[in-house]
Amino acid sequence: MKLWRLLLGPIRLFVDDAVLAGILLAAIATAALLVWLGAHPLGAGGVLLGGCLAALVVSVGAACKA
Amino acid sequence: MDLAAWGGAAPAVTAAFLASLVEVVEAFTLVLAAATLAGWRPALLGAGAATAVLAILVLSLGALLADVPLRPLQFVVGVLLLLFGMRWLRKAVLRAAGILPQHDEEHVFATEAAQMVQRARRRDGAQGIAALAAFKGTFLEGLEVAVVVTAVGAPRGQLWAASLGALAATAIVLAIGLLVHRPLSRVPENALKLGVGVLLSAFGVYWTGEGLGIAWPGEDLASVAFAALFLATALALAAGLRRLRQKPTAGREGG
Repeated sequence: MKLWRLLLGPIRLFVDDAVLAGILLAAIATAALLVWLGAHPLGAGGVLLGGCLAALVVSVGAACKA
Repeated sequence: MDLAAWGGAAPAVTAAFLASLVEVVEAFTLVLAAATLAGWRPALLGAGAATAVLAILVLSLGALLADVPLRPLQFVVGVLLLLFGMRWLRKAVLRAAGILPQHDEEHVFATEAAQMVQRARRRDGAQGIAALAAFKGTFLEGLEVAVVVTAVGAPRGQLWAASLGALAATAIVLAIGLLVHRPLSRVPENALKLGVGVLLSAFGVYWTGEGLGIAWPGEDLASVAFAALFLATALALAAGLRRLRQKPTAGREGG
C-alpha cells in the first residue's frame, strides 16, 4: 500500500484523482508489456486506447458515487 | 518554416494556444487580485519573477531535449499529455454534468483577494503577500503551459510553433484583461477545458503508442480518430450523468 502511494505520489502532481491515475498507469503498463511480449501492435494500441477511455468512465463514475 | 510545415504544426499550435488561454486567464485572475490588494508594482514584480524563472527552466530543459533519443522522448511526452489531458477531460465532464461547480473567475478573484487581505492583516505586509501570491499563481499556471507546450511541440520539432501559439494566447488574454481591468469571467472555460482535454488525450495516446513502437494505422490521422472518440465519450458521459441527476427530481415532482 505504501509502495503504491509512493508510486502514485509524483503522478498525482499531474492527475489529482487516484482512480484515474491508477487505471491510466495500468493501461500504459499493460500495453508496454504486450509490446515487449511481441503481441500484435494494434492489440497493444487497443489496450492503451481502451484503458484510457475506461479510466475516464470509471473515474467519473467514482466521483459521482462519492 | 514554409506553409506546409505550418499546416503540419497546426494541431500542436491549436493545443498550445487553447491550453495557454485557460491557464493565462487563471494566472491573470490571481495577479489582478494581488494588484487590487497592494497595487500593480508588487503584483507585476511577482509575475515577472515567475516568468523569468519559468523562462530559465524552459530554455535549459529545451536545450537538453535535443540530446534525448526520439522513442523515449515520445513515450515520456505521451504519458505526460495523457495525465494532463485526462485530468482536464474528467473535470470538464464533471462540470458539464453539474457534479462539480463551473469554474468562476469572479468567485476565484473574490476568494483570493479576501485571503490575501487576511494574510496581510496577520503579517502586516501587503506588498510582500501580493508579490508572493502573484509569483505563485504565475509560476504554477505557467508551469502547466510550459509542460503542455513542450509536450505537444517536442516530438516533431515544433517547439517554436507551439510556443508561438502559447505566446499569442498570453498576448490576447493580457490585452483584454488590461483593457477591461477585471477577471475574465466570460471566457467559456469549461468548453475550452473539454476541447484541450480531448486534444491532449488524443496526442497522449498517439505519442505513448509511438514511443512503445506501435505503428498506428493511418499514421497522423489516427490522432484525429482518437480525438473524435474521446470527444464522443466525454459528451455521452456528461449527457448521461445530467439525465441521471434530473431523473430523481422529475420523479419527485411527478409523485
